[in-house]
Amino acid sequence: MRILLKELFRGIYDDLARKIFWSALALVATIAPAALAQGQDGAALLTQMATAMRSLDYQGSFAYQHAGRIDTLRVFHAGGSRERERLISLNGPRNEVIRDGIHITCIRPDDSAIVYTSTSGRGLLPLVPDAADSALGESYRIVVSGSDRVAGYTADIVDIIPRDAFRYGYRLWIEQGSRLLLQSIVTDSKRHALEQFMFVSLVIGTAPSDTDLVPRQRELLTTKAADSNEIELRGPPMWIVGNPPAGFTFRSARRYMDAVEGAQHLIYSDGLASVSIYVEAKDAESESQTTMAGRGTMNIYTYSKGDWRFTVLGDVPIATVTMMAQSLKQRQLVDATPDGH
Amino acid sequence: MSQQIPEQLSALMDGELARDETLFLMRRIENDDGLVQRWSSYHVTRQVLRRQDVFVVRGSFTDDILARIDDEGMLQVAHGGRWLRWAGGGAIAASVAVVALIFSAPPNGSNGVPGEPLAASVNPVSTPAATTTQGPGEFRPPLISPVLDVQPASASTEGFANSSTAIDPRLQSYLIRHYDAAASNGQSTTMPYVLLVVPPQQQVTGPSVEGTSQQH
Repeated sequence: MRILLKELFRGIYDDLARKIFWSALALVATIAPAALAQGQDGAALLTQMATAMRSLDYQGSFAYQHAGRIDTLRVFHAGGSRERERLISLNGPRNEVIRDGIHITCIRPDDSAIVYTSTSGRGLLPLVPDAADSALGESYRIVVSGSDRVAGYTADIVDIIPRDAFRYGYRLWIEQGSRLLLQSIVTDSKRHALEQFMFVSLVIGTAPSDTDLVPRQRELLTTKAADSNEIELRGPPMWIVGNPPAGFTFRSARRYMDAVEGAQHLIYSDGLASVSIYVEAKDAESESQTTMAGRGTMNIYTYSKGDWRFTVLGDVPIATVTMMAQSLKQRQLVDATPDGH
Repeated sequence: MSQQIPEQLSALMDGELARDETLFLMRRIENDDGLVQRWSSYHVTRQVLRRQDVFVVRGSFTDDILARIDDEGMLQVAHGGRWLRWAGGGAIAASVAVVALIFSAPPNGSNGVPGEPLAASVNPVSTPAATTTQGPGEFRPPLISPVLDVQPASASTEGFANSSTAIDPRLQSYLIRHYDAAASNGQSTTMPYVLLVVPPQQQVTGPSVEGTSQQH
């Protein structure tokens, strides 16, 4: 009798276990492609958005909330093979940035202006990474979270969720028709909002007039050219980050043509966030201080050692720039950190 | 180094160290570079947690703190009871903070001067920054900000003060080159160049809007 009961229960358990197994498998089979598809959808949206931001004509005003305050700005953008755009502050001192192709002009409140030459030809307004970057998924999860309405347009919401505390997350509102970015919130790894921008008025598809794309009172400007352009370095850089946070890898190195030997600009990235490391000859003893500073979500760590001054900056948490700064070394394995770490 | 000294340093940071203990501690620090480093680390940590710009305190700051304590005629903690002790400690901490700002800030104090913080204006020493928990230069994002699903709706009078202060030209160059290099590599931030246009962080000249300024 006991043997029969055991057999009976074993049959029931086996049947139950089998059902659970196949149910779980079916659940995974249902959810996994959906999640994968959602990630691919989100990545595709990001790619479309990047294209839209460069190719479309648009003009509008947006609010930029950061560091406990709100600024308002106006933007004009003419897309196409030669992008032209203009960004103007609407409150506080009047600052402008104007881009005409590869030339970027920064105009200060005293009407002085500095002209830079861009080698990338990328725009002034929010950009996104190439979603095709295969490394992006290692550091972030991309999720389409719903829809909303911003500046009168209907938008898809895309969440870019960081996988650790060494990078920020983003929530993006992308217009459903044109794929233009309407709103963006930068968050920390715990999803606390750090800053955001949002269009409050926007016209898509209408080209700005020529007068909207040049400085006001252009004739009064005192313009000077910036330092010589940077050139891309070939071969390994002289400096390396010995212990970058997970996901951050070396992307490129640049230097000014007339810079001293060893002065370089390194770029590290995790596919979305970029960190620049400037190694420059120290000018004076007053540059010996170690400083940390922040501006918006941009954090900057500066220190000196020997004849060099190191500046590490990026739209990343302070822990990230600190970690990279403290493991910066000369390629010959000579430690260059402030405290000899 | 005994455990007592770090605890006293920590108490000094919190404004809870009596005058005589402060004097003793300063004498110890004068002869111990390790303590200077530790004090500097505490200071940096606090500034970072408060999202302030940070300068590393230089080694000779103890003399200045002692002098300031003397100048300000410190309260006699021994006879003052608990509240007076706290007040005395707070005053010492305030002195320490003011001195730290004085002697860690750049000597010439104008934009573009080497050694000045790249991004933000430093609290002028004459402001009562050290006697409050929130100085005028502390315009960083709140440490306890609303979670994402609760849309932030705070606003502040901070930053609306009229100033012609322009962005540090060196920082401007760094940012341009940074965004350009990042874009060349196929990456970018979500707000390139906007930092070049918005006014730099500024000193508060008016009262904050109650309930809408920094949330900590």
